[in-house]
Amino acid sequence: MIINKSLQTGSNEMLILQLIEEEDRYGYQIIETLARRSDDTFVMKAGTLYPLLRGLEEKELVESYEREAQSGRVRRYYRITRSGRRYLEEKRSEWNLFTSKVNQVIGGAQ
Amino acid sequence: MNGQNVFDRYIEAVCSKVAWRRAHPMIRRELQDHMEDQKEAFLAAGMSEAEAETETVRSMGAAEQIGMEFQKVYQPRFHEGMLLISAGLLVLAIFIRITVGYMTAGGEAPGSYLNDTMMRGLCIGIPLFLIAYFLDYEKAAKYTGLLCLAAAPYVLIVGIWLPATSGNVPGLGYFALPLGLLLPFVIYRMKGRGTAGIMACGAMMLITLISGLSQYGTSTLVILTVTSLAVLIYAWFSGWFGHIGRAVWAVGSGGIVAGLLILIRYGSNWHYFRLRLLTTFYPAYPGYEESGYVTALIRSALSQARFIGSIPEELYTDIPELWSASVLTGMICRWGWISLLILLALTGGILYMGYGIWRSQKSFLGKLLVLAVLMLFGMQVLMNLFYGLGVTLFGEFTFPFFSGNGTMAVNMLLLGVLMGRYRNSSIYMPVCKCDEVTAVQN
Repeated sequence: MIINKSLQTGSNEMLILQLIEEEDRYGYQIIETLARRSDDTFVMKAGTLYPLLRGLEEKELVESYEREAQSGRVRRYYRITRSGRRYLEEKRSEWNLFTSKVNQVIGGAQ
Repeated sequence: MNGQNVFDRYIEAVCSKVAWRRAHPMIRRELQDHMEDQKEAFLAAGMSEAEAETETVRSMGAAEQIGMEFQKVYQPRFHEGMLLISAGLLVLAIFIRITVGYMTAGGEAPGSYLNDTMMRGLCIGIPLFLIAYFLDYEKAAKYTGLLCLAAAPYVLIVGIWLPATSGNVPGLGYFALPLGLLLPFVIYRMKGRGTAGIMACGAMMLITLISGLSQYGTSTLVILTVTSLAVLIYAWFSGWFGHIGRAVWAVGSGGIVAGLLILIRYGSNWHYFRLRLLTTFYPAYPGYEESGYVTALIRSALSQARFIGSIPEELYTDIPELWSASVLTGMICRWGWISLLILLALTGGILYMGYGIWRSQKSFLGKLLVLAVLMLFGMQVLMNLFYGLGVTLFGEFTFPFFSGNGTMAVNMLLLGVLMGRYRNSSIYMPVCKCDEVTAVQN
């Protein structure tokens, strides 16, 4: 089933922050993990990811640094900041409330 | 079709939509890395070279659209707060110099002198600010050798002139301060050089300090010493130089401590005396100028100062250099201690915001440069504060922006470096090999 794009757009920040919170990751790794973990439901384009990461960095929710990956190539890794963790926590609560209310309404209609 | 060319064309199409050219290397590198990873994944999945490249470009999204998205988030930063608070300090400086400066030494420093020096300082300072604001420091770091060479004539002149004048070359001291900004470039180029790196930086520091000797009272020397030590120790402890043997740690640390003690004890004819003066805080020894006489005048005047309001002019107008080094004392006498609190709030604000700029730096060069600027600025404040309050351990030095010529120009330059580093702090430019892998993470 194809999910409406606007539904995903609103949660992109939360999804990215969640993956970076688990461990520091670089751009390609984020896209790959997101696709794998969502059974290819969330296939984010690089053109969407990098401006988003940049925006998160400007808001000081994540920070980047360069590190040599296992392959020997130097990559830009992203890690979550303290305010990023707080922001993610808020987003999670917001999302849980939203989905529970949507389910409540949908369930009520049945 | 060559994959590199396909990728390059795509990346160029993205960058063409981003107006801020300094962000291009960062965008280029990140997209390039991503495309290489993606291509490898497609190849591993069994695609041919050409298919993998085409599919990689397709998976990236429309270049124009991405470029426009990047354009929204890649903009130079501007620190309005820093500009406002610095302008506030400048306005206060002009106000104090007009209201206090005219009282000096029976009218020996009239308004025209004040205007001349202020205007001269601003005329030199504004271009310096603009150069420092727009300079690409990472690129400049490639020419560290040339930068040092450009400073060499000044160091040589001071080095030769100094002995002939017994260390008394008035005015040259202010122009020695920017030399404190050279060491960060040298340290930056010495990444991973271990003991040899730290020795080279130490030698560079000593050359800088020769210039610091140019000012009578050696306050410039102290400012440059503390600044150089701060950046050197920061780099050292951050592991920037790589492996350092225990013997070097011991000799280096011991050398620093011994150097500081020697500086205080023998750095100037007056330091030892001033140290004694400091320990026998009040009353100061009333002798000839520079032996406690001025200190005695300052303390005597300040003991009468009010919290708000002025004291009679005859109590403080005899203090020498009321228009420059002693302007802080004059300000307190003329407007009360509250004026000092306002001044400290403004300078504290600059240092606090400067700390924020330091934290925002991604490049190690940025960290070193901002640290050097903050140390140079903060030490000037401390030096003048000590002098203006009658605790003259190290000779006179003017308050940033409060004097006309040298200090105005130098501090405009320092402000330009701070604002310039903040302007580019959001991008990370691996121009120099030193930054290819950041060894230091905060």
